[in-house]
Amino acid sequence: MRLKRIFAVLFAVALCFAFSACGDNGGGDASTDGGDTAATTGTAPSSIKIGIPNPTTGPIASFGIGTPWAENLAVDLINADGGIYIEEYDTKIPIELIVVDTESNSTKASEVTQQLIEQNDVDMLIARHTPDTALPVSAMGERYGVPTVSLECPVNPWLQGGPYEWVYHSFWRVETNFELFRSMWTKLGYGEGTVIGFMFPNDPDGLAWYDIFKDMCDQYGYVISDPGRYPIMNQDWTSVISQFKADGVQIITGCDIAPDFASFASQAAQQGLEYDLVTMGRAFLYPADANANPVEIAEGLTCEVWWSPWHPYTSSLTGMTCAEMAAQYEDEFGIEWSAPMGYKYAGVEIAIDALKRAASLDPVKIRDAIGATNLDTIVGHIEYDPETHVAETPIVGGQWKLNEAGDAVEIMIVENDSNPQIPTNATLELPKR
Amino acid sequence: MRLNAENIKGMLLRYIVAIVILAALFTLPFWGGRYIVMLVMLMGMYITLGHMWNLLAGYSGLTSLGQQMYIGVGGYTLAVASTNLGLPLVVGLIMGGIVSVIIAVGLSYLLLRMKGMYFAIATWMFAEAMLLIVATVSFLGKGQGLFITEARKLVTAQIYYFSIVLVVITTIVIVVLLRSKLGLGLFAIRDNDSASATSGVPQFKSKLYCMIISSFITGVCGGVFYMSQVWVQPYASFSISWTVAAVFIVVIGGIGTIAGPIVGGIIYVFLSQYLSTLSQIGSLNMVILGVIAVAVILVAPKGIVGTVQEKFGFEILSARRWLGKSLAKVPVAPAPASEAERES
Repeated sequence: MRLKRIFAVLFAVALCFAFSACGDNGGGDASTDGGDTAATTGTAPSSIKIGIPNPTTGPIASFGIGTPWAENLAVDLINADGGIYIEEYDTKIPIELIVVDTESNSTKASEVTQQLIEQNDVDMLIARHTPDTALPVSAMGERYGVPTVSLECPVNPWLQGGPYEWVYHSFWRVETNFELFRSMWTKLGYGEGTVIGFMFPNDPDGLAWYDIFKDMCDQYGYVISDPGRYPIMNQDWTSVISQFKADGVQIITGCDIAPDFASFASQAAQQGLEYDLVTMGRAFLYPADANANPVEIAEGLTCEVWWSPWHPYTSSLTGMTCAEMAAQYEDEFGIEWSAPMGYKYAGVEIAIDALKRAASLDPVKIRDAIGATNLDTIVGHIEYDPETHVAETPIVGGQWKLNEAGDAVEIMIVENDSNPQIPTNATLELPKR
Repeated sequence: MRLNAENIKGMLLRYIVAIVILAALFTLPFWGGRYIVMLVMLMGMYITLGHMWNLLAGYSGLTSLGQQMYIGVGGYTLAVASTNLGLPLVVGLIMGGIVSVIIAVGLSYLLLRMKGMYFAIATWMFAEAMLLIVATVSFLGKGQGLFITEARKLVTAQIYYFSIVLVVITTIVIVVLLRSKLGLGLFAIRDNDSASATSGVPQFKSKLYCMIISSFITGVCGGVFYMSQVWVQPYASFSISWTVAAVFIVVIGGIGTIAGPIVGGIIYVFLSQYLSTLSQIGSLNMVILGVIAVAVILVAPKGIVGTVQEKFGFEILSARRWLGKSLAKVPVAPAPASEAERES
């Protein structure tokens, strides 16, 4: 009996300790959630909290590289000056970034975002890196009424989660990307009647891309070879390769994740699939992804480029150029730049700009300030459409070219018809096969 | 039942503790922090998930690897019912449970003819098949999934109550079920399948009832979970990680005990929340959870609750009819036999 009592007491103490360790975020109010977090009186908070769910691990971890370096590049500068002036407290408050890992999983992304909102009481959220992160984080921002800056997910799948009240998004539309791909194909002499092999997985990105690519390929008279949608992390590409062989595919297009394209390309080479060109989104946007393939496969691959050292944009905070940012990253880490780091930085630029104009921690004021953004960022001009909450950013065509040593490939800008302000630095060519 | 002063005192104490816990749970949103409300909400869902896996594996000998099927079905049914059909969310939740039961009954005639690892693999296979089917149906949004826009209007406190009501009902159902004649049969099936059959325990019927209850409650639990998530996507909702979480919860807490999934669920939520903040360890959090599970299996094969019950005779929630102190014996699943025991 005595032992039981001791155990009961110990159990109760452990539970109390565990709950107290979770911290208390202002006491309960059963009737309210987010959207009421701004204090209007009392002591100023120690920081303005911005939550960043990031795919640090998992299949899309290559998108997560560069966090929190790129974000801190912007935040450290503001914090060195004391932070952002907040009228309610008549003082400057520094910004605190809270980065959590989504494990490239949409359920986990929702869970960690809820945690950021409920435990950390974040004032803003930044959602980026493909629909797997941008959609669940945007959904949570919307549900809890937390002002959210979303980027780097094609506009089409993002819009399917709308209509949005608390979230604003910037990136490009799939239609724009198709026109970019078509422009590259046309310049290489592939027009009406060209056989295009489709490789779109059965995920939010793949489905959004497929519908638009199919309609536009039909419209321009391309012949489609479509093996159907397949699950991501597919292992066996035999049926796809067989169909492409049978249909005489000349160009392969789609939006595979990097591991899927690498395994497909390897099996296609083993099974003797011959094709002229690969133009694909998502699969080899970064040096690590492109160079995961043998150079004979990687050389000549074409894709969209949303940010590069050659983009002519500058930081709204410091005037830093894209080239300077990429060079600083390469100097510090010894690895090559990648496109998401521009968007990582731009997300914080937009957040800082909105906070400066709002000069308040009232979520409604922050949200309205985001909506009124009119800013030249390091990824281009951001001005949201008041209806859709979308600001489109520019893309150009890139091709992976062999480096001087001949042991790896590096991306070059080869097509800029729709955005001539972004200069090309190489010529588009058919790969030597 | 022999009622003496000590028994009455014990019963009163139990009722008072239960009432205090329930009162604390149902008033938590009014006095607890927002994060604690969210944590307890998650605990409610994971404890429910653990209870239902425990009902199958811990009491019926049905080691299922396909519980994610009912989570996904619950989430999708809620999305279709609320978004496409315009039905209230509560109706969508119950429909999720009903659709799960229909699927479970349909599959039971195949599944209940299998045992052990064959049953486990078959349940996993059906769950994977369901994933592939759902991911190809346009009406269900294919790989994009569906948004539960109605759920956006709910605040955490409202979803919290769904979760708490669900876990309380689930716990009561488990206690009542295990103290019934059916529960007695389930213990017999778990302890010795052949002997129970020869003793007249209706095996198929008993297991079928377990599958029906488990699928219904897991389906509703999936609905509550996706009510909180707002977006149901096939690869996440039908992921084996749901069953992995349930196994972890039950193994840590104590398989074949009622309090096991409760303790395991609390530990699981604390651990997963804490580990996700350590971004520097990345996906090592799964390794850490795995190491903890292996360590518990080696050190305390009956789980935390099972071991405590065995050592101290301290039983939080009893699966047995109350027979008086002299006959009290803690019913827990038999620990795996050691090498030496098997040889002897």
